[in-house]
Amino acid sequence: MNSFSNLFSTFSSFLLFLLLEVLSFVVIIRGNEHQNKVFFTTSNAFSGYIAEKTTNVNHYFSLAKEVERLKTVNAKLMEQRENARLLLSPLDSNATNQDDTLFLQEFHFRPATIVNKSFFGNKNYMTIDKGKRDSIKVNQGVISDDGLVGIVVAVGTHFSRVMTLLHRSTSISAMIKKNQSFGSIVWRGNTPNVVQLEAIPKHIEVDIGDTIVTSGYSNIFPAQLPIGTIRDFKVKKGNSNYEIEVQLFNDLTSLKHVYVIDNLLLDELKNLEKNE
Amino acid sequence: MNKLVTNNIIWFVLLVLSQGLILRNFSEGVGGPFYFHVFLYPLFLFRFPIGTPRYIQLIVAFFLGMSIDFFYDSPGVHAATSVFTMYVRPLVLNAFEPREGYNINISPTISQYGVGWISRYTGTLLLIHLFIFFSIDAFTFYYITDILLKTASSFVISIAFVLMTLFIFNTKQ
Repeated sequence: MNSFSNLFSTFSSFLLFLLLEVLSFVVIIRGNEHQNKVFFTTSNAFSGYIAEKTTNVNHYFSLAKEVERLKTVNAKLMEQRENARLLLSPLDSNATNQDDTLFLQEFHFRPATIVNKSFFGNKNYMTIDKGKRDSIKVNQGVISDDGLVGIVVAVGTHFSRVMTLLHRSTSISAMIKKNQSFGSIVWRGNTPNVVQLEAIPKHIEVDIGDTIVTSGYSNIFPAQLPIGTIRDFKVKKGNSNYEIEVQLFNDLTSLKHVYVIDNLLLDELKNLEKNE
Repeated sequence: MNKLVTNNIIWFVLLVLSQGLILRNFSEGVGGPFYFHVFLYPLFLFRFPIGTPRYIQLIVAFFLGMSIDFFYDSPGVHAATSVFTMYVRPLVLNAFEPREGYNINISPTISQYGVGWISRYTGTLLLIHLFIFFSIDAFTFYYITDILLKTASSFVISIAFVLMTLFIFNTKQ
């Protein structure tokens, strides 16, 4: 009993001690300018730290939204590039670059996300999350930030099927950037991310490391889109053309975000070419 | 018992007045972190009768601190420090307990326990008191070197005042 009352008195004196200290500190913070300032700046620094951490975590939740927004912005910027527009007036293009009335928008870019893909065998397709509802049509080109991806071959209401570059039937008009000589890109189904450039005559000078870009003759892709670099080239006996291996700039197997290209002048071009 | 209460009330009034009206004026020093405060009023906490119930000790310490704060215009700072010093006092008393124990009903004095004991006891408590005071005064341990320097410089002058006062009023009770 005695030890219990001892314990109780120790505890109650501790409580009294705490009470008096809290009381003193309240008086200190209320009554002293310096301590008040220190207390509130410290607590602000602390709550600021907490708020910053919370914001960092919350950023992850808005990341998907942010990616969508950035893709839209990217598509807008792509549309402002020279190869997406048609120069109507043969003036100095540098001086009039920003003047919209001199240009006709030729290509339109729509952001999309890859929802399914398979890289197995020699007929590789992927599925994107945009379809008829988003004005995707068959035979529209698909690119990523740093290279070609493929061509739309089938369109559903919400999704579209894309034949990738790594497909037996792919044939895309391309050229060597330094001398403008053009051929076509095919894939023979051996190495992923390596395609072949065909129909370059052997009198043309090529080097390993030369950049391959789109030619712009196909009406699907704008001109000067980067494709890849020459990895290796050779001429087979009795053949008049090079066999060029091109290392793609983008890794198709790890892609996530793409842009679908809409050629706004396609109908006009088609009509024109049909009449010939 | 009644005499002890009157005695302590007189000590309380005299120490608060001497601290608040006289010693406060010595607070300025040579400048920088080396300025010193003369702290005499903690003597009241040191020589408070050991046998008093804890809650009375703490409340009296709180009022002592508040009275000093009244003169120093620093509400709460001395009160928080005094309550803390009073709360840890039993620990210091336990640490320096003489073989024959304490006479719990009277104030600890030189004549009872000797100069060595009273120096160790008051020295330790005064150090604690000063360190806590300057910590609360700065209100952040960012200036820890400043706090330690102030504690050291104030300790030298304050312990002299405390021991001097104890010698002068070394009454045989």
